[in-house]
Amino acid sequence: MRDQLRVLKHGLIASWTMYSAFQTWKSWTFMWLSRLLVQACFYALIGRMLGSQEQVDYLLVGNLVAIMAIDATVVILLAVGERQSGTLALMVAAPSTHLTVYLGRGLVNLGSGVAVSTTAFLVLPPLFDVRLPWPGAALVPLMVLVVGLSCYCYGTCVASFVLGFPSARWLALNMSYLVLMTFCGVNVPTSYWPDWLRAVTSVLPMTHGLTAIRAFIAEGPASTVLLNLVLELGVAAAWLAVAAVSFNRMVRRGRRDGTIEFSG
Amino acid sequence: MRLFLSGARTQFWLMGRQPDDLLTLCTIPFTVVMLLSIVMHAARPDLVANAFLAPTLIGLWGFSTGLAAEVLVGERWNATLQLGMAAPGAVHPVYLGRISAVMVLGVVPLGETWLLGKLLFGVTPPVHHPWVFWAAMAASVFAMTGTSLLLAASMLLSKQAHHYLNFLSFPIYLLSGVMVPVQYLPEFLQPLSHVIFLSSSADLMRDSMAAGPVSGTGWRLLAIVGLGVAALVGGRVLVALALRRAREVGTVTYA
Repeated sequence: MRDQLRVLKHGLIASWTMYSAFQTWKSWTFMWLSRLLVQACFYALIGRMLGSQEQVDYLLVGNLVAIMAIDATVVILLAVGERQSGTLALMVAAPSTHLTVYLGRGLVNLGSGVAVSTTAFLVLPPLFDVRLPWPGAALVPLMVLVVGLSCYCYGTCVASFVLGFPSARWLALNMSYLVLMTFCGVNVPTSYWPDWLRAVTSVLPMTHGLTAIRAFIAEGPASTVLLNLVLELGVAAAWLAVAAVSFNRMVRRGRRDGTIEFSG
Repeated sequence: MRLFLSGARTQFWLMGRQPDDLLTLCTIPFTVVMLLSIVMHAARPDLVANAFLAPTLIGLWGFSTGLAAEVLVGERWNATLQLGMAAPGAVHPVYLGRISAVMVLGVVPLGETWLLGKLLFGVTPPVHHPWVFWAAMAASVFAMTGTSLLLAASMLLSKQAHHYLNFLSFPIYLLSGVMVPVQYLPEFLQPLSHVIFLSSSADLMRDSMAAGPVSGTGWRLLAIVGLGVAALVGGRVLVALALRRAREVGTVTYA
């Protein structure tokens, strides 16, 4: 366990080095954060056009959480990039497991996503007259982190399937977070969708976590909040387990048929 | 003209070989479902026209920033920019041809939106003034071609260009009122929307779908075309400047 944590630490250092080479604090703040804040405003303004403060509340809160999903699922691109860089063969030969590196590849981006969502929760609700239950609302970032972990695990699972089709990575990334933003209760309640689609959303990340956040903001029963957060963590664990199995299968297949090459 | 057509032909060939280039066509259905579900769930059929127009114009912008604006930097990455610059013919018509080919595809999200609205939600908004609608669409495609040339040239000038391009999505959708009319924006932001041709396009297309008469059609079309011409001229000048600068500072290609 300690060895794996050391691998994870070095993986995080490498990820941070790559991230900070691509993104400076200025570009993150003025290009990325502000772009996502405007995205949330775009949907909140639709609520204003609909003429209902209830709609503004619903759309703003949903999108404040949803903008985090973009960063959380970037792990799809990063995992494919890791595979293409040719390090898999070295990791398979090493005494450690490749899983730690692959499953931890996008944690820096997850941190970015949670930071974006937290900033958005601080800045935007007053602009749209959305009331948050302060000081209790200080717990919202923790719930966003739970949703973020869930989205991240889902992203790693998608990444494990896309590794064999690197040219589809951008498509996979966009489809992955758009599915969550469209169907998981961000803009309309999941009850709006047909039964079969609602069943699908119950095993997707964000659905339960967002329900918990909405219930918490509406000062609903603590049991509802906790139950939905536990369900969200359960969904996260399930996606992570599938991702781990899928990554292992990829390596087994690669060793069998000689496709663990040094570069994509 | 021969160089322009040659560029367009090349771009169509490239897009046929790289399905990733058509990413916008795969993301638009989600935008359609999101926006239509919001207005249908709120029981506001009067806003269905907005929910149809927004994905159409977002798709046009998506093709511009996702593909057309990448034409010149793509040439640089493929190490073909210097070959084009060394060729005896002018390169500008070739690049404009490539960008125009992309923007022709920008019309596809319109059909995609109408089809999905009908199939998934059983709604299609009436277009009471079809000639105005199609004229506005054609003017928008033209203006977007000019804007794309401008963006493509500016991509050569900055290492941060991808950040800027990524930034220019929702701020543009918001300021141009593709879904929510500009009057819902704070007053201090509203003047900004006048310099974005998409705001004129969205207003005119929305009016063309409404039953009432459309006022000032000619002037409004002229405004869209005028902004397009300004962008086209600006883009042409900027391409020349960017290529000259790249030659002077030795950044025509990367190692």
